[in-house]
Amino acid sequence: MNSIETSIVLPTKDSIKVRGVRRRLFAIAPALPLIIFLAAFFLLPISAIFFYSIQDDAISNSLPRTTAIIKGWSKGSPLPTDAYEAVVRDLVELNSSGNIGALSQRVGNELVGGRAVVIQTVKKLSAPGSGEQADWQLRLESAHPAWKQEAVWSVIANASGTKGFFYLKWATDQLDKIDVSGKISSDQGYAFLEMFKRTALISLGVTLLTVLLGYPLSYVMVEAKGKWGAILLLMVLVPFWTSLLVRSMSWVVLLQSNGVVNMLLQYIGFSDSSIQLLYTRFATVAAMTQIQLPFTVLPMYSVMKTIPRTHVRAARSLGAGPLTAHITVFLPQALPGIAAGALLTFILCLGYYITPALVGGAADQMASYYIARFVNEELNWGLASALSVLLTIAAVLIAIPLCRQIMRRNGGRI
Amino acid sequence: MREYNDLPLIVRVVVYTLVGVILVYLSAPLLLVLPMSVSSDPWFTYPLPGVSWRWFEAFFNNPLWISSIKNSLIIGVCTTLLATTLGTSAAIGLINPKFPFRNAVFVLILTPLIVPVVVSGLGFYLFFSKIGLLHSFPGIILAHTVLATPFVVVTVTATLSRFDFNLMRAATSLGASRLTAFRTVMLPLIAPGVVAGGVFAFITSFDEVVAVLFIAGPEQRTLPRQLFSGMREQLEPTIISASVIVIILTVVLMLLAGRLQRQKV
Repeated sequence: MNSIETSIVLPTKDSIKVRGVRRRLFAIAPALPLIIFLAAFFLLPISAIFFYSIQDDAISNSLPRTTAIIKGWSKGSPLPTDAYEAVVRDLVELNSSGNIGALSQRVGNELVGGRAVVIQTVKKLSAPGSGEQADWQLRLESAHPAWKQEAVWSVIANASGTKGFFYLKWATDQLDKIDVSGKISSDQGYAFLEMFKRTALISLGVTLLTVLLGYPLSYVMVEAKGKWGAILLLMVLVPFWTSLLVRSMSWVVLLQSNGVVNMLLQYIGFSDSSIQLLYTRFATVAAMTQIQLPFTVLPMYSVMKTIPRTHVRAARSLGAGPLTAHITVFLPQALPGIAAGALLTFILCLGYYITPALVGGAADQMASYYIARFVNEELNWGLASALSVLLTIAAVLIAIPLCRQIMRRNGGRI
Repeated sequence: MREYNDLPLIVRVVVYTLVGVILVYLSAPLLLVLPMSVSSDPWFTYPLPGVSWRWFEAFFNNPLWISSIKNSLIIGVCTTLLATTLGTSAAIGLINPKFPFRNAVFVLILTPLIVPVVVSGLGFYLFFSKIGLLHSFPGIILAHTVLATPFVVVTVTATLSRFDFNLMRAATSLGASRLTAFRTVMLPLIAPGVVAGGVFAFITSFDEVVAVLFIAGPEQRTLPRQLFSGMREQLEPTIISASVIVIILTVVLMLLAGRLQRQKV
């Protein structure tokens, strides 16, 4: 008998159908405020990221006449004759509204040196006396010679719409930056695929280490008798509760060139001078593993706790050696906990920002660092959004088995 | 009696030694660094030259730290109230097996934990700048509520799963309205779970720095934000004394929450 169902008192007149609908509404009602809240303040912000990752309207907004004319133009064929006039008019107008930043940034993103082309052209065109030339093409090309080449025109033509995969291509290294002459530039800027690979590799390494260190730890926690069990649990829980920021900071203090670890290494004669430990891959992995260890241990511990001790005892009494009994009886039953802990840690590692930012090397940062950097320092929201979309998709895909497992283990309850 | 499940002695010695080393690795960084907050010298080395409260004094005498603690408390308390109300209410709905698409809704509520915080931070930034909530207290409180509510829902759901719904039936059959029954019967009984959820929400907000980095202006500098910029720019012992204050507060609150959660319903 279900207690909630029977607690609802309804008039007997109500038909069964109405009753079912009303019950459902009744069940939803208390959760509705949170669902609406999350839809408004979580799903909408996340959708904004997806929207921004395919939003590419800087050029079509800044050069409306030009993009309308050049839309149908393809590389190799002669330019439409009125394109030059359109560019000059668009740029002069843009300058009087004082808003050339978006255009110059966007052109520069695709064309090496493109930023300077836009800014110099605008400057020359708006200089007094430059309006006398009647020949639009001559006027534009004398403002900056790059307009004689196809490259800058093709950048404009490719981005004549308002939506595009420009930022997603950039975020996956599918974009070939060209220089003014149209050749593929040797300066491709960031290597994002490598950055994603590094993010996955560090996360995988940290996950593996937490499992290797966490397994014996959780086993001893489960086996510990009396007070020891509680003490061990507390030793895992206190760092778990402690601020991630503070724990990362403690590594900065320890690993400094004149910090405790270096002092210790010199004291035991491991080295004569101080070793660079901070701002290295070693620091990132050591700190992240230490911070994530409780996250891996706690699910493992809670599953191991449910394994009946009698199972191992039965295997032993049937003649299995202690190690065989452990590996064939205990370990398989602990696997769901290991998987849950490892998945949780891996997902959380993918999004790590604070710790690598504080202890890691500048060239050894993970995905989140670049997202934060493109938003807060370079104001490149399109690229930050594209990177975020990729990172989120990866995290969600990996989270699906974890969610399934949690649902199954708790009978639908979390 | 022979303990069949014990591993052989040699294996046990190896395992226990290994676990000892792991526990040192887990605890040593904080245990070594936190005492430096009472060092009389600004160097992060051992042995400590002497004990002094100067860094704590520096902390409490600096208006920047004080205002950041104030901001953190304002944001934390508002987040706690909002997240606890929304989360408890949702948990009561979700515990009902008649709830349609229950698993899907659970996943929706847990998604803020799965999506990397930097991504959520970017989302808040883009969205809040459109609706005028950027660089505002309400904006940060809303963002922190999104990040904190999952903990409330999980904690309260766990408490509710041990709640005897016959009590509600008894109350309503004796003439109490559903709201009265909730207020006088259910809420007092699940209160420990609700308070525990509230503590988790508070700590989530009190500890949060990434979303704040994206959406807070200079007026909303929180304690973690202040700590983070201090750590990146110039690490000085005042930061360690601030950390000690943060840790004491969170650990005390967590122990309280743990105790409340274990109470029988």
